[in-house]
Amino acid sequence: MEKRSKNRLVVVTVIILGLLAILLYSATRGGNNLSYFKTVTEINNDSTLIGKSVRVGGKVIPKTIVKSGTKATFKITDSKNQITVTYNGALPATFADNIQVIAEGTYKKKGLVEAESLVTKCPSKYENQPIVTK
Amino acid sequence: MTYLGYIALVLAAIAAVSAVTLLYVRSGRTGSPEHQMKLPYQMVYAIFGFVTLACLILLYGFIAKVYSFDYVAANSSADMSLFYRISAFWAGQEGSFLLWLWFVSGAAALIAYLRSHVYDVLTSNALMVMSAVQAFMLAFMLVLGNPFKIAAVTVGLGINPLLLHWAMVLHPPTLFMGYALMTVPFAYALAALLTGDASPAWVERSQRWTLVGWLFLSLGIFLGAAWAYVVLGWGGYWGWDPVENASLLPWLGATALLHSFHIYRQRQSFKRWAVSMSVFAFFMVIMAAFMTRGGIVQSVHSFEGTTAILVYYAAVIVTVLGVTGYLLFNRWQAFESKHIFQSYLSRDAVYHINNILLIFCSLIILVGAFLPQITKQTVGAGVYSAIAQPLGIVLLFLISVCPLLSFGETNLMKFGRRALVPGVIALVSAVPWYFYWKSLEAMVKSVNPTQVLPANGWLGYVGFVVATFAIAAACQIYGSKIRQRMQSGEGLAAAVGGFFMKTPGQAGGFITHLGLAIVVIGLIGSSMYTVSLSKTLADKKGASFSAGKMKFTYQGYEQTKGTGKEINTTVFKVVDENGHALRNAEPAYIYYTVREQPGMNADVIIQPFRDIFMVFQGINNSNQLIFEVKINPLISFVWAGSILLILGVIIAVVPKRPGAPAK
Repeated sequence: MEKRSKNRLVVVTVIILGLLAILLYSATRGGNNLSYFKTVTEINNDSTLIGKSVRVGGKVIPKTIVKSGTKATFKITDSKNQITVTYNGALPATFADNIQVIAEGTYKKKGLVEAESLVTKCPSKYENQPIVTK
Repeated sequence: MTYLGYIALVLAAIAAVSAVTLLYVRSGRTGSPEHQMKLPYQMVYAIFGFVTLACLILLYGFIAKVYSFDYVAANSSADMSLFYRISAFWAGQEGSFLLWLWFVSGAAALIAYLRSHVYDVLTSNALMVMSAVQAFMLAFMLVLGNPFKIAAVTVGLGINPLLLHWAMVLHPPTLFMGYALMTVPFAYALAALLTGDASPAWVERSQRWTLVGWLFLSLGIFLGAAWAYVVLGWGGYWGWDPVENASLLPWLGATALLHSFHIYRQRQSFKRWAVSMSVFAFFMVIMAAFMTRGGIVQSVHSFEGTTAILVYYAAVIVTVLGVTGYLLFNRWQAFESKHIFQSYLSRDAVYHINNILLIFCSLIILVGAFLPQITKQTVGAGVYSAIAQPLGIVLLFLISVCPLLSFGETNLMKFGRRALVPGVIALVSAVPWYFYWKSLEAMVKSVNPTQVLPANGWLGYVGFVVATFAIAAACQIYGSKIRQRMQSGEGLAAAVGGFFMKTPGQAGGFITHLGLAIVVIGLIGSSMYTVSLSKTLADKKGASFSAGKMKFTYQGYEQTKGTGKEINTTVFKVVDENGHALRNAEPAYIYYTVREQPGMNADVIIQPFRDIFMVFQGINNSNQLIFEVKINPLISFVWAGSILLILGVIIAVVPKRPGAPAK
C-alpha cells in the first residue's frame, strides 16, 4: 500500500473512532442508563443506594401481588431477604407468583424499589433450569 | 435406545477426529493424488451419517413418546400434537445443539460432495477446519450436553405454552442454520491462510454459503421479533434483551463479512479484512451461543454449575483466536491489498467506515452483555437505543451514498449528477416529513399526556429524510441500470429481466438496501413514538375509556375452556378519531392450568400506518379489569421492509443458471 493511501486510512479510522467515542460517552451519561445490578440482600444492606438506579432480581413471593388501578405492588426475594417492588405499566405475560423477575428502576427508600421496567425470565426452555440461589 | 444415540455421537466424534487427521496429512499445502483424497472425504460423509442417525434416534424418542429419554421427558408431553412434539426437538439446550451440529455436518458433507469431482486443496483444508469444528461440538455434547441422558421420570413435563406458536417453532432452527453456515466462510478463510492462497478463490467458494447464512440469520431475527410482538403481549418486538442482542451479533458480523467479500472480489482489496471478518462472524456465533447458553443471560443467578461450560467456551475462544491470529500473522504479507483508499470520496472508503461501524455495534453489544459479570453494572435499553439511533441513520446514509460513488476515485461532477435526483427528492420530502413528525408528537401527547416525548426526536425526523434519500437513491440505481440495458437495444421487459437474471447480486443487493430503508422508517415510528395507556374498567357493559380521540367501549367478556387452558376474552367496540367504527377488539387473558401460568392474547388492529394494540392484563384487587392500549405508528413498515430485505437476498442467492450447482 502506498504511503498516502495508508495516511488516508489512518485519518479516516481515527476520526470515526473519535466520533464513536463521543457517541459512547454521551450515551452512557444520564440517569436511565448504566444501573447497578444488585441482589435483594445487597440492596437492603446498602443505604447509599437510595435514590440511585438499580437493577434487582428475585422470585415473586406468592400471594404478595396487589394490583390497584394500573399499578402492581409485590415482594421479591433472593431466599434470604425480601424487598417490595412497585410497577406502573403493562405486566409481562408470564408475570405471576414464584416467577423470577428483574426489576429495574429507582431505589426509593429502604425496602422499596420503584420499577420502570420489569422483565420476567424469557419463557424459553433454555433458561428453565432449576433456579440456583446463593 | 438412549445408548444407541450416544454411540452414534461417539462414532461421529471418531469420524470427525479421523477426518481432521487424514485431511491434515493428505491435503497440506499442495494436496495429494486423487485416490488418496477419497477416504478423507468419505470421513466427512461419515460424520454427517452418524450425526443424522443420532438426530433420528432423538426424533424417534419424541414421536414415539419414549420418556426414558431425559430430554424428551423434559421438553414434551403426551398431550402435545405430533407437530409440536417434533418441534420440541429444539426446545431445549441439548437438542438445539444437536440440530446445529447436524446443519454444520450437512453443510460439510454437501461441500465435500459438490467439490469431489476435482479435489482442490482449498476445499480439503476448509473441510478439515469444518471437521475440527464438529469435533469440538461433539466433545461438548459427549461430556457436557448429552441429549441422550436416561430419565428417572415416566411422564413428559411438556413445553412452555408460550412457545407453542409457529414463529417460535421456526425461529430456533432458522437461527441455528444461520450459525451453522457461518462455519463455511470461517473454514475457507482458515484454508486460505493455511495454503497462502490470497486469490479470490476462497471467497468465491464461500460467498454464496455466507449469503444463505445471512438470509437465515435475518429470518431468524424477524421470526423472533414477530413472535415477541404477537405472543408476549407487551406491544413491542425489540427490547435490547440479552437474548435478542445475542441474535444480532452474528448478523452484524455476517453483514460486515458480506461487504468485505464483495470488495475482495471486485477490487482484490480488503483482503485482511475479509479474512478477519470471516473469523469475526464465526466468533460472534460462538459468543451468541455462549450468551444464550453459557449462563451469561441467566445473570440473575450466578455461574454456579456452569463452570465446566465456561471453561469449554473459554477453550474454544482461545483456540479460534489463537490459531487464526497465528496464521494471519504468518500470512500478513501475502494478504496485502493493492488498491485501498485512493481517495476519501470513494466506495472503498465507505466500505471501510461501514465495517468499523458494524464492528463497533457488535462490540458494544458484547461488552454490554458481559459488563454485569465484571463491574456489576448493567447496560439499560436506553444506552443501546442512544447508540443505535444515530448509528443506524449514519449507516443508512452511507449505504445509500455508496453506490453513487465510484471505486478508487470519484469524479465530483459524476457524483453530483448521480446524487442530484435523490438529493432533491429527500430535500423536498423534508417538508411533509416535518408535519408528519409533529403529528406523531401530537398523537403521543393526546393519547397519554404523561408520556415523555423522546429528547432526541429530531434524530427521528432526520432519519425519515435520510430513509427517503436511501429509497430514492436505490430507485435511481434501478432506473439507470435498466436504462443502460435499454440503450444497448433491449426492450423494457428484457432489460428488467436481464438486470435481475444476469446480475442477481446487484439487483438483490439494492432490494435489500431498499428494504432496510423502509425498516428504518418503521423503527423510528414504532420505537420513538409508540404511546401506551393503561386503563381500568368496571366489569359493566357500556363502560368506556378513550385514548386521544379514539373510544373503546366494553361489551362484556366470555370464558371458554381449551385443553389445559382457560381463555377469558373481552370484547370492545372501537371508534377511531374520525368517528368511524373499526372492527371489535378482543384481547384475551389466558390461564394455563397445567403450568399455572398466565398468558395474554393481545388483539392488534392493523392499519397501514399504525397498529392499535390492546392487551387484557387480568383483574386487580378491586375487581376492575386492567387493559393496556398501545398505538404503534409505522410498525407495518418494519415487517414490510424486512420481507423486502429477505426477498432481496433470495434474489441474490438464486443461481445464475438454473440447475447449476451452487458454489
